[in-house]
Amino acid sequence: MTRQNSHSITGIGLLSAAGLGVEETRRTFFSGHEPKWLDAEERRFLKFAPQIAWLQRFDLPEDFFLPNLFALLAVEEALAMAGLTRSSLRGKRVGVCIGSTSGGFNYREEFARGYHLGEKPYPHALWTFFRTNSAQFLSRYYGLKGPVMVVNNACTSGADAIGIAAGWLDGDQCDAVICGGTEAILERIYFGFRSLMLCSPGLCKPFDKNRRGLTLGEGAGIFILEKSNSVRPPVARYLGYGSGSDAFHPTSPHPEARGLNLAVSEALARAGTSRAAIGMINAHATGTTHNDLTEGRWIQRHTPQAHVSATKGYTGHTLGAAGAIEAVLTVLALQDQRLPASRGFAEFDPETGVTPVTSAIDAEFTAALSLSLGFGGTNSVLCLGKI
Amino acid sequence: MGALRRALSGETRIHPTFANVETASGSVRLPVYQAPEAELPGGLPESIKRRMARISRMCFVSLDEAMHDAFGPQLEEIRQTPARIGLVVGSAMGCLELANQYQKRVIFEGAAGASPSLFASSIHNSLAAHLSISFGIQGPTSTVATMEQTAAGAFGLAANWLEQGHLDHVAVVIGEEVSDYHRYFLAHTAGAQAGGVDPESDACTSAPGEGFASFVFSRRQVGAYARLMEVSMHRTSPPDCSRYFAAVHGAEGQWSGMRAWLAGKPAESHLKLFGSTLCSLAFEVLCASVELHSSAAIACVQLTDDGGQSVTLSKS
Repeated sequence: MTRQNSHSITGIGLLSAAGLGVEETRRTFFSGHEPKWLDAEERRFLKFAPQIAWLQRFDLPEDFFLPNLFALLAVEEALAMAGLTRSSLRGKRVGVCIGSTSGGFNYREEFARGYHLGEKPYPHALWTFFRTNSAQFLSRYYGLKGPVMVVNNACTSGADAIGIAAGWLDGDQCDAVICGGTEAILERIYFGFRSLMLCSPGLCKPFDKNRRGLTLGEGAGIFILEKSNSVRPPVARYLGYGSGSDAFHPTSPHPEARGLNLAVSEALARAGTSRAAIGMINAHATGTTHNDLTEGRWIQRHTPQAHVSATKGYTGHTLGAAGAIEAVLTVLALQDQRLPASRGFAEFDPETGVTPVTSAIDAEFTAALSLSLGFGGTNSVLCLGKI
Repeated sequence: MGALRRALSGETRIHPTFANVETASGSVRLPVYQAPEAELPGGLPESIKRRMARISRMCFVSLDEAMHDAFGPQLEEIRQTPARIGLVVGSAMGCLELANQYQKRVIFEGAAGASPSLFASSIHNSLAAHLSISFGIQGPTSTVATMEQTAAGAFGLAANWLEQGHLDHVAVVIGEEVSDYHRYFLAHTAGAQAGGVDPESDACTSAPGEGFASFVFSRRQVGAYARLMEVSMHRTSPPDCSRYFAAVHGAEGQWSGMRAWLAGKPAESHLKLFGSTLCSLAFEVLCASVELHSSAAIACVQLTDDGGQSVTLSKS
């Protein structure tokens, strides 16, 4: 296997129930600040509620959708950090790769209701929904001329979008990439997870002995990724990406973490580093029995030296955005040399063997992994490094 | 592939079936290019066969044929290194029909109507999940859904993975299933009742089509149908090539637009074999793979709102 080129992360942006933007999220995870955005709707979802005033900042088309707005807010923040603007990007060889479980497809609720109730609604709404996936929306909004892709790999989508985008840079298919994930939660998605008995009755408790499931969340996480010779200063390094499939079960992870093991090995090989060099792991840690058991056992067996953060207690499980949001949180940890707090963990589970960082602490480390596991047996890993 | 060859040679002709679709302005008789019911191979357990949705069956049968075609008796040997095989699934609409069924139950029954199996099957990457489990593929698996840019993105991703050097083969499965929503949408489109698609008409003749095209891309060259020369998006002009296959779907004015973009160079379309799908580029690439015996190279081209995109194949 050949080592992949490392790339510069020159901008990051995110929003979730843990905060609007990088600085507020930083305060949540590193300073114990209680995020004002965290809105637990009957303790079912952790919601991020946009206000109309924010929308007025943007020249938005009428048919925009919430996942696209989330993505746009995060992209704007990331571009500002990188010193880029909409006008400076127009017509440039910049790719857009966005992960989402739905890509906007879910936003046809009103039409669907009318259709199924036999009201014969005009189908323009369908066309609008079909035409409004997040990657094409962003590419058109900024007038870009690079590759465009929506990745739908369930809960690994955001991490995969970043890894795939890095491949575009390796192949010189573009000069920079806007990449990450976005997701908005709808009630029927919650009903689906509940039908699978995966939803926690209270807020989720990742890695806790008494964990009883996940809490859904929404938001977006974005990287501006550029080749390492970019003139813009990086905030962190993208070192490698790996992906592997369990080929085992549609909704349960392989008990021996077969795909995760492959994904980590590949990410480390591409990064040209070893498991022993990893100082921090941002775990997928959904708070479900099987995910945390599989992942925890793998971590204990293969990277026992690494500090573990489990961030979904603050963000909720943001599905297609999770891998990207957690990658951004990993970048913050690398920048600040501080480990993000994990909320919800109280009692050690000897079965998982993992004790996540419960309150933010300082740590010295140069490389970190962000792990993502998803329905369909997908496993994706990003290896990120300090400047 | 036998059926495709017969259709390409003109030995057989493809005829649409017709569906009556109720719209706000009355009943519309809509032509539909429906795929025949896919018969699953005997080796699969009955419990799996029963649970496979129609779209999953189409994917499975298509990839099964491609894998046997690519590897023949060596398939079992190839399966001994499952981490060296990747999988890309491209579908602009994915499991829309299943999502529609799930949504309908939730609308009428609320939370109690949420079926766990229907929910899991309606997630966009469930096709890839079924395929990776069925074929034991343990390399990277990715599902691409970028509307009319889906097929080019899927081919490009497979090519990138092979270039990166950690895989020997990448299976690519691209296509669509006709859903109630497709039929309903196209029943409202002027000209859709015309009787079937006509790629060379400038009037709208779109009629929903479905099916999956599967490919195995390998680092080895021996015995291959074709060599993948380039995949590109956002083209301002077509690639230089002696023969063009145009991915169109029968939209109004589309053929004139394509001819203008190709600056008068002749183009062929196989729309009449597949009907209108957002992944028509994949079907043109499939046809090009078979037709390369009579050409040195074929460029499959498509015009989108974001410029041209192309996939160029040459003889292996």
